[in-house]
Amino acid sequence: MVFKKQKNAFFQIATELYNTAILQNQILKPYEIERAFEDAPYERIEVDAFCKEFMKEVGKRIGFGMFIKAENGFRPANKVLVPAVLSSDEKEWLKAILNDDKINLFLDHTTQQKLSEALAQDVLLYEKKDVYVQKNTTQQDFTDENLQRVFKTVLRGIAERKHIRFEYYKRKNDVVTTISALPLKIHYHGVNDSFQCIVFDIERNFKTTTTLNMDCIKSATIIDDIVTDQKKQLENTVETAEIELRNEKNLPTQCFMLLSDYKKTVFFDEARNLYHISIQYYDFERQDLFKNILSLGEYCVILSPASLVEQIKKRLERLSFISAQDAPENAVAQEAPR
Amino acid sequence: MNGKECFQTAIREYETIRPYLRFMYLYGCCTKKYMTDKGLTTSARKFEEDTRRTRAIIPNRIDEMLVSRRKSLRVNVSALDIDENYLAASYFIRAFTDYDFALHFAILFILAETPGIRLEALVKRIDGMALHDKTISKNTIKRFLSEMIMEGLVVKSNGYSLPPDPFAKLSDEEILALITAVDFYRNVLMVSILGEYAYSSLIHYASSSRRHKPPDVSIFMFRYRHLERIVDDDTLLPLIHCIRTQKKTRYKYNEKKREGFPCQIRYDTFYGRQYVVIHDGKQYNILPITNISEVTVLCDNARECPKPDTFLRHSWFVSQPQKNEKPAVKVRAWFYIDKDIHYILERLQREKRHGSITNVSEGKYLFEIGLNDPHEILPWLRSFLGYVVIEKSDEHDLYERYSASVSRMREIYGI
Repeated sequence: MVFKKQKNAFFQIATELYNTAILQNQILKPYEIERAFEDAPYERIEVDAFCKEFMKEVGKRIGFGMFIKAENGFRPANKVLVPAVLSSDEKEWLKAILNDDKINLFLDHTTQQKLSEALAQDVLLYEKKDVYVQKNTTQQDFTDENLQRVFKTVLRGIAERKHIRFEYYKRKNDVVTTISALPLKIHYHGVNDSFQCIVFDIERNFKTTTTLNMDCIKSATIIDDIVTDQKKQLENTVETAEIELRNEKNLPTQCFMLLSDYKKTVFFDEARNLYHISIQYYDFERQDLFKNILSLGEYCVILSPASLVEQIKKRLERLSFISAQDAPENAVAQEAPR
Repeated sequence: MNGKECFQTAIREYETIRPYLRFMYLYGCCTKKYMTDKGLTTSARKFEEDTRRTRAIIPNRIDEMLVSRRKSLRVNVSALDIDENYLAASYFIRAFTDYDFALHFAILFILAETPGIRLEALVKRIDGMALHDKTISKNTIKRFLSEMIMEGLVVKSNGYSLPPDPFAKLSDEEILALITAVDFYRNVLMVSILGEYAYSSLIHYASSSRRHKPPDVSIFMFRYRHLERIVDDDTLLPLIHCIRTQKKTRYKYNEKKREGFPCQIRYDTFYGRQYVVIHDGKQYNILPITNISEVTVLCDNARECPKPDTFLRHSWFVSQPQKNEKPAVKVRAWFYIDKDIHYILERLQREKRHGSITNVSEGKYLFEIGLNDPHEILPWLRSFLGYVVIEKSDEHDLYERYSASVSRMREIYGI
């Protein structure tokens, strides 16, 4: 069972509070203790009730024995820290990540070896044969040393907010291009099982993002002297699409599962029996979203932006064109009577 | 807080909140009437309680508005805005008692100071700590220790000790790299709540054992991570245990009790659907995990079930072969892809699954596939609108369905 009392937020907060007090040699004031528990995912009245119990003095102690009364507050009752102990389930899960190809992008072989030895006594959460994951054929080879090197450089660039000089080639013509860019995020596509690096090209004045397939990056070098905050830049690239979805059979569930990662505002129009959905997405995700909407067919209508509406019209026109132009033998043109 | 009338966020069974949370996250909006009509809530009171609980779990993210004079709730969160799976917070509200709290910390402190301590000495130490104004019996302590041993938080060998530190041989730099890896995998790997737990344990480990705080920078963005999967983890984990140990399970499916041997989990990364393949002694059943609850592992003799891979070889995802053992239905579609739109061809090659592609002439490709249920493939073919023509067949009605869909779209968009 994964729903555990030891993982309750009050346990977690008490642990952090206690360890911080030891590490920083702090005497905690009652209000500091109460304030820390305010972050627990509970209603205010429940947090207050817990705090009341926690602050109850038994002898000279509070916090069910965790803290002892000191001058102007409370100090930890023990000298040792609350140890970080991983449960068996957590270790089984950690062992499972070592079983995945992508781990090579994060951990060196020696680190994997050390961890693997430390977890030798634990069972593996599941064998690959026990779980079938339906995804597309990946084009990225996670054992490729250059990909691993580039990936780690990008990780460092993002963590240290530094610019990177990329040498990359487009699959189409294999011409190597060089750009200096601010790496924003590593984007993982769950269906394609592939990584992309989302960057702001410095020469384009941070106006639009560029997406680089990780396997197309030949080299990445950190430019040490520039540091920029990435988060604000990314917010400028958000676009909004408005769609209408008919409330028929399993369609809403299918659609909402498909759109589960997007920021959306939903309004159910009872009179027309349809959902009005406003979706926010980053500019580099436009085509992926468009493809998803198309998969819902006529049940999902794009209202805006105009560019997506135009794109769908062009696709419909193209279908008429290919149907009329070259209908294969035994195939009937996809032109139903109107 | 103990009065019967008093609302409590804390719950004992995760199932209490699971259907509501899942619906609210996926649909992004709900009204009491809608939830009652769909059978997702048993009463108005239950709806109010679930709403209060969800508000506590995801504070400031549930908006309230009036739609047709009805109170409608909206979730105002984005998986893109935030880097953490906020639904994970729902696993941090398990009910506990004062004794649980006191004993948990007391035992950890004592075992950290005195590894290998005997039960009698441990009981004496706990008594001496004056944990609570009531005494804690030896049996209560023993029971609690057994729970901790089962969880792997304590080991019993020549007395009681904490388990060995699995990260002892890793350098600080390696710990940071591991934290980044776990940060990624908790969003990707199955049973992601264990990843969430492991992540918080690692952060705790880095700060307490290494005095090192990892940099507070968000590195990853995900598409198709399907955060809602986490609410099914409480059901998924025992099923995985059954598969691993080849044990039988008893479970509730759509409110009916059943038994069987789980043999494989199937996960569709596109829609985020998770299924379990269960053999009930006669045949395979492929059931969505969302509709399963109350899973218990039975102690019957273990039995190995063959994997359903051959059985599902003609499945686009989970459709089963027809009972009269009819051969797979053949679907043929023609793709028209010009040279300048190479990415469509790349997409086709990437996504074709067990289908085959033949280049018939320049820019013209024939896609052929055998399927148990041809309707499963229709949404995928529709996503290639403008590039694909489905071939008419007596074996299926995909052509007719697709044509009707296109015709309706032409009307809608005025073409």
